[in-house]
Amino acid sequence: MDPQKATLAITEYGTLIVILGTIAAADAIKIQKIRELGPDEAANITALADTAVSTADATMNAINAWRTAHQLPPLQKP
Amino acid sequence: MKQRRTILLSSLLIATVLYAVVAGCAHKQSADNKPAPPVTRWEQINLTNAEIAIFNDGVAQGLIAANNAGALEDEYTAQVTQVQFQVAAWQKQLTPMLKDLKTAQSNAARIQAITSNIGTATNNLIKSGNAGIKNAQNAQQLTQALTSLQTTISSLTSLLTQAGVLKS
Repeated sequence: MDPQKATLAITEYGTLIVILGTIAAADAIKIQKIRELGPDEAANITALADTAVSTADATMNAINAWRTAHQLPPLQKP
Repeated sequence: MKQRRTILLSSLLIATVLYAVVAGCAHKQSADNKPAPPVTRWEQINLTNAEIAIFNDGVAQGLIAANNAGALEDEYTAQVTQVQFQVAAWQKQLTPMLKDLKTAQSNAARIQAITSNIGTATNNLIKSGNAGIKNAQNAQQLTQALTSLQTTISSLTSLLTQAGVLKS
């Protein structure tokens, strides 16, 4: 199952509820993965910094993609 | 409207629970069958910094997905994600300064300002969550998810204070 896809469920009231738990699960796996450190400190710090920067980039890109799709001006990246 | 907010807050609650599940200590692999060395302070600082990025991204992606599913108003989504964008931008500036103690100490004032800004922005997120959601129980759930982000930021500030980069 695509982890970015929302899981759908029908409540007893017939209300369609979108549960985004799969996204949270993907993030939990990411956190667990980065906590598995290798023996080399310098390599670990470089990898963790790369993760922080690439994730921040992904956040900004996703927000700007959403804004563009909704006719809002993209926000300025640093 | 109430259903849409319930959807959003359900997702945020799930995110909070999952982050709580994975909460724990990092550990290192050993080399050449030697005992695994302890996680160093700078590894922990960079680990916490990376966790903030992942947490911020998870909440942003959740908000966008909820909006795309028609579960959240555009105006509210734009308002909250704009703050999250700024948090991500600040963190991108902060990360290179956390390379090592010497680099951090020479950028202490900037690090202090950025961590303070991120903390303030998170508080604003919490306030906007309360302002955007009238139902008290739902607002509490949103606040809980955002408080987890705030707690991680506090952990980073605490680690940097212990390292002598920030003043207590």
